[in-house]
Amino acid sequence: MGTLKAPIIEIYSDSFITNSGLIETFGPTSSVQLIAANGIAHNEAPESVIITDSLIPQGQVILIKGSVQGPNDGSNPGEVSATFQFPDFVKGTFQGKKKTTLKPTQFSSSTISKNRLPSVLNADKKKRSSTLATRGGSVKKTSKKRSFFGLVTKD
Amino acid sequence: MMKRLPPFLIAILIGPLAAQCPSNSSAHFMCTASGGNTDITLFQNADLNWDGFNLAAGNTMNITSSGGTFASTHIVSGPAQVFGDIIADGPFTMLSNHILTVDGLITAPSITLSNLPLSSDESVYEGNQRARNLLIRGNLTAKNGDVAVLSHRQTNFGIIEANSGKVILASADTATIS
Repeated sequence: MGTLKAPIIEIYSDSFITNSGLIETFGPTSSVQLIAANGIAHNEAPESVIITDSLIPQGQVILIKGSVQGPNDGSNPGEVSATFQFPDFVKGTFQGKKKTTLKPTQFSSSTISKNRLPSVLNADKKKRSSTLATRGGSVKKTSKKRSFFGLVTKD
Repeated sequence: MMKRLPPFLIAILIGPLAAQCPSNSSAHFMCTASGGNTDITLFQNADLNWDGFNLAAGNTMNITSSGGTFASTHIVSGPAQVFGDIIADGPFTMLSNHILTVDGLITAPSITLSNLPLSSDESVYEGNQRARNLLIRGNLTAKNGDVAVLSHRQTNFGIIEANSGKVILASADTATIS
């Protein structure tokens, strides 16, 4: 099991480096920099741990599956396990340009089709009748019953 | 298929090797070897050439500076194997054009190990150039500087510590050491 201990640890890989063990930094400016032309993998293994204030991985593909802990996390630290993927850093496009694609959720209403909303939410407030439960009383000419569950209002 | 013997078994089988001194001589250093101990005194920064380097388990190499703190650069033609202990009071550098293995202990203010080619002329080696491994199974301890390990392919199963400096591991095809 390999062990690296220093205030600052820098690992530059253009080919092959293996350290299956502990990487620990300490002190006020402690950091671990992992810089690889191709890929970096911090594997998930019981003895594979990175302890640092600042983990700076740079590479085309960065796989952080092993434990990453803060120096003051104590004996039962929270574990960070994540996968990062950056564009090619050699082309200088990685800084602040992480590509992220979010799937539409209930919190991102801008990407949700209006037609899929319940008609009550979708209806135009100006055209909505103030009369309740009249089943098309005042909007009879601009709407038609489509299903039992609601009305589709024409704009 | 022939199985490669582990280094500690080789050391047991062949016994402790006699201590050695560098192949070159210079006014910058003085070397005495006795039993399993090698004592090197530096009077200035010095380059020490070795035709292969093998410090057997149980042997020690003490590198001390006289009249200041001086750096020693050990240039090894052939495999470099450190099974014993090296203690230096100045910056310690070991450059090999072959495999480099540390099973023992190296303690110095700063440590640099490399078996990368130093120039484009150094393009032909025994076997495949890319097969030159750097293996650390012992301890590297920098007292107040950095530890830099440079190789094409390196594996650390040991302990590398720099209490007030950096630990730098770099793998590449060539390196510039300045």
